[in-house]
Amino acid sequence: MRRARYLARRVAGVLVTLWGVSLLLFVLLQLQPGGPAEAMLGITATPSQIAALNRELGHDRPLPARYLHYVAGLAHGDLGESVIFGRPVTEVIAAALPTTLKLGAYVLLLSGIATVSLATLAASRRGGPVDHVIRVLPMVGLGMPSFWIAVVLLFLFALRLPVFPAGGLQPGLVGGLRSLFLPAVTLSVVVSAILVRSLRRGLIDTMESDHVTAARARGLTGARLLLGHVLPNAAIPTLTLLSLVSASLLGGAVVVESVFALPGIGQLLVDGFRRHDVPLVMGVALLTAVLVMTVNLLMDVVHALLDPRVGPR
Amino acid sequence: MSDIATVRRRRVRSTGLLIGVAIVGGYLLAALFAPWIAPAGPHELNVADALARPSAEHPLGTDDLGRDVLSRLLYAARVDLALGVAAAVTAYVLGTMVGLVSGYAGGWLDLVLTRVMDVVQTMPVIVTIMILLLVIGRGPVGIVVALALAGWVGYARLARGTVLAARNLDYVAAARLAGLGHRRVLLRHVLPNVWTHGVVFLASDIVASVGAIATMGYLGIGLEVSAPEWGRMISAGQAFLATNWWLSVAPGLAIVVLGLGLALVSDGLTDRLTDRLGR
Amino acid sequence: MRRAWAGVAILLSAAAMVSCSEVPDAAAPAGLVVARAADVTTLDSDAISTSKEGSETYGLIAEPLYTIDAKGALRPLVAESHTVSVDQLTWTFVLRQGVRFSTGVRVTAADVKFTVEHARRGPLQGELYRGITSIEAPDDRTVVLRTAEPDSALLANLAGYPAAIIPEDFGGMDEPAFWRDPIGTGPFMIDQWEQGRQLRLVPNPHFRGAKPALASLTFRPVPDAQTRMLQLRSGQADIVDGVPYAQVDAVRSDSALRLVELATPTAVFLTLNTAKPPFDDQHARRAVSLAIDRQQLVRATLLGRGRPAGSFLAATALGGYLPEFGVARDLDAARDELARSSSPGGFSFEIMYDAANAQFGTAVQVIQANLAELGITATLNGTDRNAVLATFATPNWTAGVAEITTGDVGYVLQFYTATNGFGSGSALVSEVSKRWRESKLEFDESGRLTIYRDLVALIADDAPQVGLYSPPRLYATSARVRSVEPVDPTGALDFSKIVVT
Repeated sequence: MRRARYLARRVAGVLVTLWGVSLLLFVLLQLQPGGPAEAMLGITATPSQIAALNRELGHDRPLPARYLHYVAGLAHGDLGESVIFGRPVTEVIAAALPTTLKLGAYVLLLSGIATVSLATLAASRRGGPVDHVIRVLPMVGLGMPSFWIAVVLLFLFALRLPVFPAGGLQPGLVGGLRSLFLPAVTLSVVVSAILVRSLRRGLIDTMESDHVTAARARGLTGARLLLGHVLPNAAIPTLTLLSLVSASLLGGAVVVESVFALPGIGQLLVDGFRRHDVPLVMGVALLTAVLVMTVNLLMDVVHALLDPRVGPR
Repeated sequence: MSDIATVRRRRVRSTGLLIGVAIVGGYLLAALFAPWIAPAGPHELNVADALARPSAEHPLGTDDLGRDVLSRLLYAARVDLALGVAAAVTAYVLGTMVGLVSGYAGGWLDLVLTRVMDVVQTMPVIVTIMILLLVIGRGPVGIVVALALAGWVGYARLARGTVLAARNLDYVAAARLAGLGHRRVLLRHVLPNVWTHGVVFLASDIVASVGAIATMGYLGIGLEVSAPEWGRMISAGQAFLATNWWLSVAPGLAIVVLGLGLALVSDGLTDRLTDRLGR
Repeated sequence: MRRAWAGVAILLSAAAMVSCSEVPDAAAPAGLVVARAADVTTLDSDAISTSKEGSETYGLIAEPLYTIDAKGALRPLVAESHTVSVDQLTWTFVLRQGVRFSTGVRVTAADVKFTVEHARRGPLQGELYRGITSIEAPDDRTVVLRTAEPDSALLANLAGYPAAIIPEDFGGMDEPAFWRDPIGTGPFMIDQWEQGRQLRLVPNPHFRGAKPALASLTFRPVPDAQTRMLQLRSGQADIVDGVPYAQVDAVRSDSALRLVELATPTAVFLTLNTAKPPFDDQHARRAVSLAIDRQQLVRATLLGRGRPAGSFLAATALGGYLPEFGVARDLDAARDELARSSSPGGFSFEIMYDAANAQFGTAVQVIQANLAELGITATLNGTDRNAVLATFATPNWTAGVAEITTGDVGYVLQFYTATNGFGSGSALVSEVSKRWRESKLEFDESGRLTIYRDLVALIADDAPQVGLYSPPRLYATSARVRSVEPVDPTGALDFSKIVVT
């Protein structure tokens, strides 16, 4: 019951934040040099077209009325029409979203494996040279711009050794996995860099905890100890980091999709920006906010379920 | 046993800090003295000598327009560092002020401001930067403003947290009891804390700042196409990866090493602080 | 354990089935995918002159009475023959038998009458046809055009896109809907058009000529040249229109790819806003023209595979002519001009250009460096192609990079006057208009050429437009694509002949 109320409050908080994001986007839309109608129609619009849309938008109406019109549109899932595609923004985004989601899932898989392996290695050989190296790696990894990692990987594994395609999303299951591999590795570097330190610390703390000492006293060793007792507890603080990571991940996807020419929402954002397709850019921005908050909420749910200590304060 | 370990650890940490300072210092010097150190101007082109391999005259060769790569790398340090530091410092000042107000005022103002922080932090930084640039327009000023508006929240939360923690401290309560006004309490007890923690955060934030500027340069949405900037150089070199791979790799290394230096400084300062404050 | 193996087996067979289903049926005629730089935003026959992609796509759908073939000769298409009266004021066309629209309806003289009348009303290119005073259709196969004055350019103008034959009354559709799905007599017709994604054509079943060997023809807008090449290499595209020069050698040495290089009358040039400072001053314009190192431009931008341009009309369109002024760099003369201008200490201005075009990006950097030597500071504003075109129509610009491919010189000159000198507001527009009219009265080929050359020299001297370079047209195709030939002098491909083996 306590947990349910806590989660309900979290959901309410999410909705408020979403409203805040929509308000921010609305304000920015109004501040567009040239006005929102011009922004929506694109730069090739004629003055009469702009005037017509202004009337339709109720531009002669006061600001609050315009905002209500905008919110009403949002409630119907109407994010306006893309200038580049001449089609509803929602349609355009829906077509591109699966690619980004696939990439995201791939990244989580790869970085999950990398993080767990590296952190376990470091924690088990604590204080030694291996540990030091693994502790320095994230510092280097975080400083690397993801597009540079992408370019280096492209060079090594697509040009010098033509193992992977040099870009584009190829059709089919195998083609897709191959095309997404280098992009996923690129982002995994950054994600792992963020998570490894946390998990390593978590593992060290957990391994020294009473709970684990007791389990060891009962004779549990090796993999069962690790997977059954150490990892779940150690992972909790790292899981909360995942919500921080999701925003980073989406930001990284924007760049990586550009480098590898993947038709996801990151590519839409960059194309939309370059060609001044304001409705599209705003639509993608709103979507990223929704995605990040969804992940945050999910992480909270998982956290609440896993950790009996969590609850309303 | 534990004493020796502590001493050894402390020496390793201060070594790290020293290395970091040396690296960052090196970059600052390179940026400051670029016009004197660089073999050539960053815009001096000589198409007849394009894509030359490294030589005595051009230690890192030339790019596709015959411009000296090393010179452009050095001048790019000026651009990236100047803009990165400007953006981070602006974010620092803005964010710290908001955080202080929010933490100190409390009540509905705090509520509203923390919500604003949530809103800004929800979108990935690059997304926020892009939608701001659509309104502000491109160019160096636009970039600094957009980055600052996208990045102030971390400082705000830090400042706010420090204020909230400080309010509960005994010595603050004692000072208030002794009759010291709000402002004096703030200035003498809270601000130094905020300042030091903020500066540590700043060191690592400059990495992110430079990274964001390089990303915008790479995507071609930042400065003009001929401006020497690491990200733009990486993008321009990509067409020649097969033959002149260092055109893209060298600017990236420049960013990575700077990032390493700043991370070492940030970590080193954090350790110093925790040692000093005993927390 | 066994369950795990079963799961793996199912996964593998699923993957196998998925990849197998990708293999196309080798017996049926194949589809062709063309990746090109920009999207088609409209197929309105009057507006498409500003878009290479638009006009070339429209040229596959609709055919005019006559066409200019790859060698520059006029060939009858929908018309079978024509006669001109002795006073050169009456033109009689006989239409070819059995020409049908893609709807199956036979083409009649009434359709031609409707087409020409519609073309005359076009805001952009209508002037090309306003010399025609009357159009009559005495019978189904005959069209009679009368002109006010002798017009040597009439056939060439009738070969233009606005005069490509469309059904009378737009075949019953309302005009905007018609331009979303135009009906013509060409070898292809529209199957599906997804703006921003692709435009798919299929063979016109009622085409009177040999049916195209392609099952379908799909155009995809891919602004980034590197991405286009990636798609070609991975098989997602069969032809790439616009190959980065840095990759030319790689394509040549790749046995799976072919390079098609066509010399075309294309010129890339700077257009300057003469209505406001600094370029309201002729000396400033001339200084810029003299300071630009065009040889260096060709080397940097085209890796040597092209030549300098002296104006917006490419040398090959003028029989190889380059004006004297400006083509060769003369820094001293440039300094001299600058000294005589209203800002002798130098000035600064902004150059607008299409950032997606890597060639332009390189060119403006060279220009910036060239002008810096003179004390002129050029700032570079890379933006979207549509933004550049739209901004030309406003007063809010100083200099911009543009590209024109000249199918017919008179055509381009009319376009120049219709756009107020490409937006520059040049004082020479009326002079251009005057000489264009003169050229229409000149029925002798070499006489016309002389008029054009004098005009180009005049424009080069005044420099409202500054010619930069002339690039060849580069296509890269997969080795399976054969019979890749140009259909007209602009280097557009004859897709009705292309075969995929």
